[in-house]
Amino acid sequence: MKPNHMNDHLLKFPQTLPNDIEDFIHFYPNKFPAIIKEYETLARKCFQDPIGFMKMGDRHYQDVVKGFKKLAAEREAWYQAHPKASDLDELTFLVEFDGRLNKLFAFRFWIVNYLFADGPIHEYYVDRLKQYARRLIEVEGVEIHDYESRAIALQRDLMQGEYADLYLQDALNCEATIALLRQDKKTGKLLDEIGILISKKDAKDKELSKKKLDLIINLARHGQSAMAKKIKDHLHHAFAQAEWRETDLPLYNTLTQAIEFEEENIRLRQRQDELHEKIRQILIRAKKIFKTAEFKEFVLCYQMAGCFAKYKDVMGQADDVLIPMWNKNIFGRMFDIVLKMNPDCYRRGLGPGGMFYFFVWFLPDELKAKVMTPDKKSFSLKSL
Amino acid sequence: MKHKIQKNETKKLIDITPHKSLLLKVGQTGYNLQEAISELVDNSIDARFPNKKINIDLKVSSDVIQISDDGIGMNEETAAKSIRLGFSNKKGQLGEFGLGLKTASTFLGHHFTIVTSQKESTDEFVVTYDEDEWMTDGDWNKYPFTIRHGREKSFSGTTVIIEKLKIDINQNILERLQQELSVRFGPFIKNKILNLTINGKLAEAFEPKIIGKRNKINLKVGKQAITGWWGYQLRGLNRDYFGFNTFRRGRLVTTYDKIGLNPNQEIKQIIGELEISGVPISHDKKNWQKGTSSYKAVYEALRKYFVDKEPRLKKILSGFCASAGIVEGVARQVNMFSHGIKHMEQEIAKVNKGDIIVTAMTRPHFLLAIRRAGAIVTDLGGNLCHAAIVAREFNIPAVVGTQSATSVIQDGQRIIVDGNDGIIYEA
Repeated sequence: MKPNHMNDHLLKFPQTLPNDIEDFIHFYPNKFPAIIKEYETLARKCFQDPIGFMKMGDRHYQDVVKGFKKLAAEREAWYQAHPKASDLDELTFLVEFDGRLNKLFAFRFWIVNYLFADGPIHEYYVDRLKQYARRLIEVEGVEIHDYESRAIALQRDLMQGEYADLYLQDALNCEATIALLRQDKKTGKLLDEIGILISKKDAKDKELSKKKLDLIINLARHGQSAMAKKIKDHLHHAFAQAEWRETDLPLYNTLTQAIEFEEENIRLRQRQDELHEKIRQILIRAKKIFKTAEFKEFVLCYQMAGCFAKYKDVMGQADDVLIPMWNKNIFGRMFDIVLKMNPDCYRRGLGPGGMFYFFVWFLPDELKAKVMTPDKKSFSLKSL
Repeated sequence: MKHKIQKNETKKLIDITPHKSLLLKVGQTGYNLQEAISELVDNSIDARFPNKKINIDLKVSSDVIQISDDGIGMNEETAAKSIRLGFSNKKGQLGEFGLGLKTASTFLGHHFTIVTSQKESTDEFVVTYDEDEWMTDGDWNKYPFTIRHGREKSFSGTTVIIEKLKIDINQNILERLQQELSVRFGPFIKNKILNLTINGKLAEAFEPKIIGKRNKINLKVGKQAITGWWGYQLRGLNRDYFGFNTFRRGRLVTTYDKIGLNPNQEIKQIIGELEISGVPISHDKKNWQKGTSSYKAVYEALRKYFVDKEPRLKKILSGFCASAGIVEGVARQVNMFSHGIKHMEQEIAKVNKGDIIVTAMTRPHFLLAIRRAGAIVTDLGGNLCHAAIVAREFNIPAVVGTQSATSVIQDGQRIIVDGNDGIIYEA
């Protein structure tokens, strides 16, 4: 099955998704029917155009950022304009606000991060890539007992690609942080001391290790030296998390990981550095082995699989603003109000879809109807 | 071969000197590179000084294979007979057939040279074989033999240089060679009898990864004796790499021998090393003579011993094989979705090094727990979900999209995660 003859059903709005913990696939097409056409149009445009896909991904990410800013400002304005709003008024506002946030999330985040990156098109390209990897091994004449391990290693390299996602980037940043701290004898010694404390299980040791980690965190947070600034830059993700979670725990976790896995992270760095050359060599070999059309398809499969993995990550950056808004400012307030109105409600962890799979059961009827009434208008930032 | 001549018979003596092509044909034994080179390493090990470590230096390139040792070396008589088919000084030992050097060298190349000398002698003996020259001018009775005089007295050893190679050497084959020599000669390396250098790199003894303890085995069946150890390993990508390395008089005969085992072993497989005495081996030293009654007796004794030791583990779940590898460990239910910072700290603290994370799906801020994990199992996700990507990046097995791992697997339960096939077993 060549991609230019890709069966039409692969480009249709999917019926299920493998990563859909909150059941968006069953809610969004009913709540926002226009999303079906929106996705199918994009699928036809982008399914064999990695650059087009990346442009679309970047555009959608920008829309998420802009849309979020717009909504956050409106929320601020509403609270300023209604300092003495009743619970019901505030709840009505929150339900409506959540609907708008969901619309932004569905049309701009979910399409890229779930429908493309976990859906049938992704499945198709990953399968084809795996098949090509096996063929690359076959024609090499590898001995039979080596075949599986080589095929899996090659598939792993191709699916990982050259892009370091958030997890790996964090580990690589940890490696860079430790390398910087090791340049200074005093901080180097501090790392060794923390390393010993981390390896112990005692609660006292844990507290002591936190105190010592505070020295590094303070250095990065307040230090003016070039080293301190670089460390803060390497730990930017953990600092962002610390800020919105209002605790330094993400920083403790990141630094603990950096110290506990110091050697492993050095090896990860080497592997990542070598991967660029490895991929280059694989492509050279594939060009020799495959027919021209096959080689084109192989490259396309590699690029598209890489795009899906990468844009999951790109969109994932929006979590840092979206999740606090949803958890604290919307659901946090919702719990405060709904718990007063309905004793059956209880506190629990929720994701962006929390309104339609949880709160809807505890809302007054008119607000239930609001949550479950379809919004048939297509998406635009202006009309959001 | 005397027999009585009948009236209607005439007795004649005929010439049965082997055809010259026999020297070529002995190399067509179905060797592979590892086996042929192992023959030469075996010879070098045999030529070690008593109670002294032998250094063997193997150089393999696309043009030449050279193997040098600092063993006893050969005297003039032994060197002269080294090219002779069937000649051996090793009565009652491996190598007693006197074929290994010739079969291995003619398998590997069209041309080979043996250079050997002994301590306290200033002579060095050289035997050269070239397939083309042998076929045109060779004579079984007049084989050229060179003695070089004036050699340094303190040196002894033998070098075999094989040229005009018959096999293609590539990087894959070289890696395979290193792995197999580490297995074959592991016992010698471990016992500090051998230093084997392959293309400048010192070979390390292969150590199988055993789960739990090594069990001793000591069986006697008539004149046959079986000693050694066995244990369990988790299946690798090659499902056939289980069974025993078998030895005769301390020398490896077979690798991954399934003697006495059910060949259909599943995730937990039996592996070990057996020294077997009283069973003859084939002339190429690659196998036991399986038709003999002594082999059958050993087989039966081992089958009886192992029949109730082959585990059949229960499969609990299956999902996408997101990252390869198989590990056994303690399952830890980690909820990455309940919010609250205290909760996060508690969830991360649950995971000890090597534990298996069982979660609905992974979240980036739980990276510390993920780094400590031996494997990941998720309810949700496909080939490119975060759990799959992160597991591949950190090289730990992962099975994702099981739908019900968090419901089916209990916290603290011992499980095996098979990331190759996407299956979870009860350990």
